[in-house]
Order: sequence, then structure tokens, then C-alpha cells
Amino acid sequence: MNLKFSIVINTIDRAHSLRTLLKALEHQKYQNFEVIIVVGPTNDNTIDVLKEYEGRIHLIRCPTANLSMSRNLGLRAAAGDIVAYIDDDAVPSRNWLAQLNYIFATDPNIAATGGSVYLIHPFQPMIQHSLGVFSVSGKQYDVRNGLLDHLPIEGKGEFWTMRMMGTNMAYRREVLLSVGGFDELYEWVYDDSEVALRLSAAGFLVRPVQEARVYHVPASSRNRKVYTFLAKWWINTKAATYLCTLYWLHFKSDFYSIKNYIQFISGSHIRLYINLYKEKKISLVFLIKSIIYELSALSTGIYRAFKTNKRFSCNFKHIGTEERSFQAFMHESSCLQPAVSPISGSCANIEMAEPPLRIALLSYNYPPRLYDGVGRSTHMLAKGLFALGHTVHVLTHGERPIIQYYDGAYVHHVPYELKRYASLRHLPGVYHRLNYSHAVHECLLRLILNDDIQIVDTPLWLVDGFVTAVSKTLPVVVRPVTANKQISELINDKNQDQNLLSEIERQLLLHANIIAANSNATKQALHNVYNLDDKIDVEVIPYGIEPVSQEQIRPFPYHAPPEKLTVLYVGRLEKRKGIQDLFTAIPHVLQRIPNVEFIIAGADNSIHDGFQSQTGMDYFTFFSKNYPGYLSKVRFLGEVSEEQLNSLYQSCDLFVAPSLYESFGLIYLEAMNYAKPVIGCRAGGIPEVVDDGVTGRLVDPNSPKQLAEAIVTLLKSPRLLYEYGLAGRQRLLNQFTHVHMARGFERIYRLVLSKTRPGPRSQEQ
Amino acid sequence: MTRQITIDDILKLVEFELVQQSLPQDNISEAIQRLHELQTYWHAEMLHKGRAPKMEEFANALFNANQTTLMLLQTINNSLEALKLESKKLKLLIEKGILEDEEENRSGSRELAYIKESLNILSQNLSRIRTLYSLEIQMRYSNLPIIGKFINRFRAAFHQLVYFYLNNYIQSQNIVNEQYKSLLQDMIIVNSSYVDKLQELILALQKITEHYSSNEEQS
Repeated sequence: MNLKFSIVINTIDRAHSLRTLLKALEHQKYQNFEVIIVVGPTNDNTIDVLKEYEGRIHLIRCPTANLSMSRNLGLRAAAGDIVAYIDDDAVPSRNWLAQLNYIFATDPNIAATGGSVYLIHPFQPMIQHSLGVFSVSGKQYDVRNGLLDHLPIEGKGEFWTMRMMGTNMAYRREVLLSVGGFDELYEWVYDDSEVALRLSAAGFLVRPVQEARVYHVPASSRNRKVYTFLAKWWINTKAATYLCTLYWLHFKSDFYSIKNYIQFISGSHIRLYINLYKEKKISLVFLIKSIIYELSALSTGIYRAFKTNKRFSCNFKHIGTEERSFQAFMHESSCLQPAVSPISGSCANIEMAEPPLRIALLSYNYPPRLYDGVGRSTHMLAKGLFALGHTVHVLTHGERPIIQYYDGAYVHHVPYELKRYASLRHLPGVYHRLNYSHAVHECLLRLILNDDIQIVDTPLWLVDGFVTAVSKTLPVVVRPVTANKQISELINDKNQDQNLLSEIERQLLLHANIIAANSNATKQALHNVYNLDDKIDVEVIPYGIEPVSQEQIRPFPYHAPPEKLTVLYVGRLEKRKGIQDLFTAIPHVLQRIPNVEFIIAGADNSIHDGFQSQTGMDYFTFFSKNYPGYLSKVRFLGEVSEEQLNSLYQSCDLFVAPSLYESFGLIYLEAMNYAKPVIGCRAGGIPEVVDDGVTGRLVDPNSPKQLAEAIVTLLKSPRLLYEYGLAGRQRLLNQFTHVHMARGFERIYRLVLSKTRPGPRSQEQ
Repeated sequence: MTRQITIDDILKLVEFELVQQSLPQDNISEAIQRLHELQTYWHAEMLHKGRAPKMEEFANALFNANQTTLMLLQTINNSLEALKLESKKLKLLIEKGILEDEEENRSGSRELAYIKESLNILSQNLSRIRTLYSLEIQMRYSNLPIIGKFINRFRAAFHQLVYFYLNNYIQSQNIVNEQYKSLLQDMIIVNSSYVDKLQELILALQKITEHYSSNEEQS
């Protein structure tokens, strides 16, 4: 059954957020809805923004800044069967309405529902609301975390009901009208909870659900300054006092619990003001004003409650409904709308020929929390896909199930517990990865439900998408980089755990709908290492990075070469990265060109690559013992931050990374981005990135002499440093930007989707 | 005897976990477990193995037990309905000659095997649940000289009075419990028969598939 929805948005002074919300509503899968916007006494360009949507929305003006009044106006104007409320600073998930429709259509007894609210906050993202409960004495909890077990038992007038948050709630219109809509004495808060109380008391079923998500990106309003504690808290006190006193009078609830609650609310507000004053965030005048307002709010709340109580049962008169035509919001071109950033409201400035895709990218590490090669390339892919107009969700490891928005992608943190595959505990690598992969699979199932994900893209490294690929729930694209098996062979680590991990990698490749290798070398290596059938579809899509602006690039100043030249190495200090060859080459270079400084940036990995067990020392100690005379010319920086790294790339004169094997060689691109010449090895995918003799030099792997020769040749020729650098930058712009990469992936996603028939789950939806 | 774990074992484990996930939430076994725990606890309490319970607590416990049993019945009924629907769907598919994907059939029969196994466990658990209770007088005897006998006589009379009413109440509860138990057993039997029927239907479907594909090859 397709119910008609009226989405009511109440707004004041939030034109920017409102525009984002309206753009996001165009992505709703369920299309049978109208949009009613109730605009308060606004001072910004809200009305101008709404002119763009003329004919597709109903615009109502609310004379005062009163949320309940505004909600009632929207309710009165609604022509749908269901009235759904969403805040003007929130963005619904794609299946928001589809799920609400399912809930109302399948159970006619449900009068009100609403889903979880995820706070998209730059510093403290969290689940803001999920399955809340509320009592007549104003207490409210979220049911998650088993808080229900700690609630006091009902009785003594303590009446508990489920509640929704105003950001995400929906009601049957007739039912909400029958209880008189929202109590207009609540100006800002408690209106949503109080209406749930009245509905429950009148015998209607209020049942919030865990899904039907809304992403809440809080914006400043006239009552609250976002990301601070500055707000008109006295409005909250007034509402709480009013609610508690009214229901105490009406339900004869426990006086002391109500008194304590009001004391707690008001007391904590006053303490907060005092602390803000101590921290010099508010003035003394504001402090005194706030305390006076707070005390006045207390008395107003109590006075209003006594006044209302006399006519409580008949206070909320029925609001008359006039017949009005239902104005569907969706536009013909809605299916071609590019994705919207919930924070900035920006979207791709392109005309889309085909509907945008909804993609889930997996990466165990992901910026800004943690950077590694896979995380970095996934980040670039996400950014590129968003630039092309697609909706991107990234699933990464995290401690709590929160959602962030970072550079064009919703980043879902996936915590995992070791609660499955107990029989594999003696194989820690396999045990952890399978458990994590299963947690990712569960998160993906919820993403299918909420955000209608079409395709999953997983790196081969750490096999995040293994369980999903085996389950065949969604089409899976695998992005192989250096295979685990190759690394175990390089570092000679061949225990059972490693062998099984290699086998799991192979199975992931076999279960993939398509494999997207980053270079021909990776493609070849996959066939050699995993003995893959030639029939298996492997596409080559080179990685890309975001080009820095023209102002940031620093070509070599060949007209006025610096006195001291800098050679930069970036990468983990380990055998595979060729660090030992560089150590051997450094003395040869310094003997011939003394005014050179070598900078080595990267974490020491001597324990894991077996160097410590062979030599008994780490790489720095090894260098200082074996080449003590050159130590002053070599700086070991250890692991560096992203900002430091960029400034190192910018300030170096030559970039060297003599890796014995790289599946692609993203680091060379990063140096080329700043117009730096590069030196690498003829191994893996490096020759596909570095054009020998054009953008840099290639030497044979394990050849320190050749490496030293190449470094010396380049450092002695300022013109080559300049020309190679600029040619590298141009090569990047022509072939290796994140958008080039995303276009390649878009092509194969569409290819896979055209080949795979929709699964039973998506048909149901 | 030990052997090394292979990738086939891992794939089977993943499949197993996925099937576990696809089965409905394990309400039935959880409810049985809760019921069992409740009965054991109150059995111990009533027979003075734990602290002496209050009448109100006892009544509450019985209500809880009943509530859990009702929930159990409802869940089993739901699964029965679901099985009925599946059975109808399969029958329809066979009648119409619409052939399902072979892989889906296989996973379907695997799920059925799990359902069958859980029903067996359910049945075993159910048979272990004790439904008949009665209380025997257990009282503390006073050893005081002269008045001790009177106190004991008075206590015995009082206990008998309380236990008389309590046992009456327990008897009626026992009847309800017995009815629940037999109803549950009946439903498990019906469920099992549906599972068998479904398995038969899947086999029939597989035969048709084979027949169809061999015909196709010949033509």
C-alpha cells in the first residue's frame, strides 16, 4: 500500500541547510510525497531559496518563532495520510520514506513512528537518538545500551511511553489531529515527547524503529549556537517545568521525582552559565540575564501548567482540515540529481546522463583517523566518485557505530567483536579478519535497508568484503593491491595463518563480480600468484590523486639552484621498499655531491620484515653503525603527519623510492603532484606511473649502484630536475587524477550492475 | 585426531554463520531457556532451597512464566505460518512448472535442515520442562519447653491453611502448564511435518529441474 506522505519542514534562518535538505529529498526512493515548508519570522534568504522550488512545495508563513505552532500549521495544511516531520538541518536516508510507509502500511495499529537520528558532527559524531522512552516526569532515555532495565517501574503516576525525536518522526494525520496536534506552549523542546505521551495516554500505538535513518547536521539557530554550549537554555527549563508540573497535576505523579528533575535541569543550566562565564565565553551581563531568565522560566512554567490544568482534557481543540490537492514534490529529473553533501550542500556541477550510483567502499583504515595506502586510495576514489555525482558510503573500522561525513562520503565506523568463528582462534589473522568482515557485512545489510546501496567495492588487502562476496548479497568489485601472498613470500613468512589468509584472498577474487587492478603489473601478478583462470574478468584502472592547486607546486628553480639539494624518501622502512639499497647508495652520492641532504620519512618496520631478527637492530641503528660519517647528511623523521608530508613533497628537489615491488606506486604520483622528478625501480606497476626519461628515472631493483648513478645524474642537472618535474605534473593531470580514477570505476560499476540481475532483497524494496 | 584447517572449512564456516543470520531471531530457544530458568529458580525457592519467597513474588513469577509461554506459542505459531506460506509457494511453483534457481534450492534445503534440527532441540528442551508442582509442608520446629508444642501445633495449622490455598492455586496452574506443554509439543510436531513436506517438495523440484535440463540437452 502506498500511503501519501506530507513532509513538514519548519524553518527559520537556515536557508543553506534547507536547500541541502530539499536537494536530498529529491533522492528519496519513495516518491508519493508532498513537501510543506513552514517558514517562521526569518531574516535570511530562505524565501529566495524556496523560489527555486515554486510549484513543487507548499509554503506557509508562521508569524512567531514557535516550533509547535509551526508544526501545527504544517499539520493543518497537510493533505497526505501521514505527516512526517524532519528538521531543516537534517538529511534523510534514501529509504527513509519507503521504510516509514512500510511500517504504517503493514501495521494499521501504529499511529506514530520514527527512526534513528545519527549526529554528523565534526568532533563528536554519535547516535543522537534511537528508540527513545519518555516519562511524565520529563525523564528520557534511549533504549539502546539496555537502559530500559534501569528504569524505575511504572506506578505512582510514573507513565512511560516510547518517543521519537522531532528530527525524524511521522504520524497518521487523523490521529495527530484527533489529539489536537502539538501543544503550542512548548516553543522549542519537549513538544515531540509530549505529543507521544498524549498519543499513548489516548490509547494509540507509538512505535519508533531503529532504522529509517536521518542524518542530522546541526546548524546554528536563534536559540542555539552550533558546536558550543551557548543556547537559550531557559526555554528548555520553561518547557520541562511546564510539562512536569502539568502531568504531576493531571496524573498525580510522584512529586519528589518531578521536583528533583526540575531542580536538576535548572541547576545544571545555571552551573553551565557560571562555567561559561568563568571560561570568559559569556559576559557578566549575559550571566545575570541568563540567571534571571532561568528563574523566570521556572515560574512561568509552573504558572502555565496550573492555568492549563483546569482545561487540560479539552485544551487541544480539533484543528479543522480543509480539502487541498496533493502536490507531489519529485521532479522528472530527480533520478538524475547528483549526490548532495549534507554538510556543505554542494554537489557535482555536471549534467548526469545516467542515474547516480549508490556505492559502498570498504577500507579498514580511512582518513582522517588513519592513513595507509589502501585508505588513501579509497579516500581518493570516494572523493572522485562524489565529484562525479554519486552517493558514497565508506565502511571503516572504528570503536563505536558512528557516522561521519568526510570529503564527499558518509564514513560508517564498524566496530567488531570476536564473537564468531571461535574454532579459528588459534589463527589470529584469519580469526580477526573474518569477524571484521562479518561485522562489515551486517553493516552493509543495514545500508541496503536505509540507503539502498547497489554495489560494494572492497580492497583485497585485509579482505573486508569477503563475507559479503561469499553471501552474494550485493555485487562485489575487488580492488587488489599487493597481494598478501606476495608479501609473505617477500618477507619469507609462511605459517598456516598466512597461508589461509592468502587462500581467503584467492576466494575473494574468485567470488568477485569483477576485479579492478590498479596496473597491468598487478593484473599479471594476480594471475601468477593466485593462478587465476584467464576467464576471470580483470580490468585495469590506474589509481589517481587529487591535484594540488597550481600555486602549491614548486618546480625546481633551475635558474637559481639552491645551495643545498634535498632528496626525499617516503615509505615504511622495510626491505620491500628498498630502503637497504638507498642506504648503500647514499655514501656513493654524497662522495660525489656533498651538498645533498637525504630525508627519510616513514615508520620503521624492521620487526615485521624480519630485519631485526637478522641483524638485531632497527634501520636507523643499522645506518648509524654502518655509515656513521654520513649520519649528519641523513634525517630520519619517522612517521609524519599528512600536513608534514605535503610540505616535505613541496620542499624536496628529488623524490626517490627504490621499492622492490609496488602494485602501483601512489607515492610517485604524490611527488609528481608537486612537480618533483622521481626515481623508482623497474618493478611492479612503477613503470606505468613513472615515464623513464620523461618524468623521472627508473633503475633495476636491488641495484644500489644504478640508483646512486641516477640520483647523481639528476642532481647534477638542474634543467632535468625542472623538466622532469613539470612533465610529471602534466602526466598526473592528464591521466592520474582522482576523477580519472573514479570515471574508470564508474564504468565498471555500471558494467557489473548491468550484468547482475537485482537480488530478491532489492526487488522486495 | 587433528587435521589442518583448509579454505573449504573456512567457506563452510562463513556459510554457517550466514545461515545462522538468515534464520529468524532465535526467540524460541531463548524463551524456552528463560522459562526453564524461571521454573528451576522458583522450584528451588518454594522448596526452601533458597530464600523464602513472598506470595506476591510467587504470583508474579507465575505470571511471568505464563507470559513467556504465551510469547513462545506466538513465535512458534508465526514460524508455522511462515512455513505454511513457503510450502504453498513451492507447491505453486511446482504446479506452474516455474523452476527456481538450483543454488537457491540447495540453500533452501540447508536452511530447512537447520530448522528441523532446531525443532528437535526445541522438543528435547520442552520435554525437560517440569510442569507439575506441588508443595509439601516444611516448617521450622520450636524446641522451647512447654510452649514449644503449642507453637509447633499453631505453626502447623497455619502452614496447612496457607499451603492448602497455595496448592489449589498451583494445581490450576499445573493444568494450564500441562496444556501449554502439550500445545507446544503439537505445534512442534506440525512444524516438523511441514519441514518434511518442504524437503519433499524441494526434492521433487530438483527432480523436475534435472528432468527439464536433460530434456533441454537432448533437444
